[in-house]
Amino acid sequence: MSQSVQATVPVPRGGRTGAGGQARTVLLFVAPALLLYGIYVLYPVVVSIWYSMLEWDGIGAGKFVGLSNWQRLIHDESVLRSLRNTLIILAASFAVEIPVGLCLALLVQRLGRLGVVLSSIYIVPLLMSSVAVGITWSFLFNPQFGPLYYIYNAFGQAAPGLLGSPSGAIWAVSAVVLWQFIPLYMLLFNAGLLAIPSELYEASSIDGAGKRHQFWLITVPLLRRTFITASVLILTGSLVYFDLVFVMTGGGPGNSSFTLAMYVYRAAFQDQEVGYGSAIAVLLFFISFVLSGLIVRFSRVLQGD
Amino acid sequence: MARSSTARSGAEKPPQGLLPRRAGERLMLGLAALVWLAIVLIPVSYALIQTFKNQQDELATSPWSLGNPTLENYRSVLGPSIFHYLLNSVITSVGAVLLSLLLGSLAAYALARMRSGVNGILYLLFVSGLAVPIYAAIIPIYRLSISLHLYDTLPGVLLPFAATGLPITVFILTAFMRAIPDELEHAMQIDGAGFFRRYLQLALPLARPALATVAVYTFITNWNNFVLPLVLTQSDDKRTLPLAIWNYQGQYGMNVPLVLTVVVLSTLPLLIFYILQRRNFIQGLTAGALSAV
Repeated sequence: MSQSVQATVPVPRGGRTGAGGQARTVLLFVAPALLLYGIYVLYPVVVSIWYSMLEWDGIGAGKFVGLSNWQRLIHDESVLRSLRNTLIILAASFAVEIPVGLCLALLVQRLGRLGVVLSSIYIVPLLMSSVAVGITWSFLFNPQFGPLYYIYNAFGQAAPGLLGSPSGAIWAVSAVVLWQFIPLYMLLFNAGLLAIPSELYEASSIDGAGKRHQFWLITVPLLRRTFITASVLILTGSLVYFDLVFVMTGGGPGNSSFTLAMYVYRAAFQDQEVGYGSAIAVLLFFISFVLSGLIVRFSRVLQGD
Repeated sequence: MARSSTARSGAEKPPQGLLPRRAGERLMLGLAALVWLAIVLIPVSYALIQTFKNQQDELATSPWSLGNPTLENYRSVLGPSIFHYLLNSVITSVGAVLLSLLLGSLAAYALARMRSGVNGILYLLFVSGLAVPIYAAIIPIYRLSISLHLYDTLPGVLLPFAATGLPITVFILTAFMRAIPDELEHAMQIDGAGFFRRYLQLALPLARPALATVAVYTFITNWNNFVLPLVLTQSDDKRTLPLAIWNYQGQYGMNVPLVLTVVVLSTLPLLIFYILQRRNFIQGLTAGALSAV
């Protein structure tokens, strides 16, 4: 608000460049970035809404069908399945990534120099691309020739084909998600811990506070911002799982390990249903946008005091 | 200032109150460290061990024994094509980082240092891109790529890499450039320096730490990106590393040692980057993540 008021009044600073001149300079500097960003991000989001109202194989001309893709989407069992799977990944991430990430951060801090070495090893899964992680784990999970086979064989049993089972696939994928991303939360909490002044611990030790006390009364409250960040990353990140799912299960068996991102790809690029794929894409965008809006609101409230 | 110096002294030596004193506690810590070490290293060492076996050994021996170690897999993978994929990854990832830094810093400087009625809306436009999942835009990006004759070309991958890096670039750089003291800029202005010269000689050098952070973050994101090259290329000589790994699996799926050799080799570049630039790497990764809030 104050910005726009300032802009309408000629600003003395900058000599002859008044508000109009400044706006022109701003546009000139912003234009190249805006062009690239507009072509590859803004335009696609807008045009997807139009695509979502077409029946279109992507080759010929699309046929306008109004909201029928949307009607289909609302009753689509695969969409429900994708949302359910997203919730599973989300819940697993919340339940495991935050506590384990925090514990690992505390651990490597307490171990001093050894901790630095350890954290460098702990971080390896994060350095691998999701494709590399997914392929490695799909071999590990393979019931015929993977290590699982040998473990079960030692007990005289057949190994379960986790990735091929409709109920097990999404859990196997979730476990791999945790394996890959826990190091990220370790790093985040590590950065958060380093920002806590050590004087606080010293002062409270003098006052006779025990470790457990210090943890709940100093460490946890002062890590509040890190907890918020971690939650936001988990929320936004869980919407867009694709690489791991694509490589490990392809969304299957059937649609059992679908995520929305996977479904967009399946519909538009494998089943040639560009219109319907776009409807799913718009839904994905919509969920992400609403969620981000809520997060901005919520984190302002939390950090407000 | 005071805050950051205490934070740094905290980094030098761990807070006294946190050091384990009792033997029982030390044992617990050591145990926890080992458990997590096992969770990380079992899959990684499984992958590593298989790369030294031939296909028959891999099928016949236990996953944890080396059998008759051989470098055969490395010899067959380390041919011209893997270096070609590596080069493609470098060109698209690094090129995109440079492009988004250039365009993003120009935009950020104007948004941070100029006063005009359009600033607010432009800034919001860029930053709201943080909430756009790439998968929501992938269909039109594919169609655009075809109509711009960029399909199956390296620039066709590089440009969307750069574009999707812009929101975070603009976000972090604008915040940083807002903090440049007015006095410095006024002084240069009095010396007759125009807007572009102030950007080049004042803002860019001062923003170097932020530029490094953004560069690291967007580089890692691009380097590991899978869906854009998957959708936007088709011929073998345009593949980036993640796509190449997946393709090896499709082609030699039954040859586990060979595929895992590609997996291991493809992880090396980032591993080396991490070892050489540990501090910058972690800083870039966490700062990128932190700006999500």
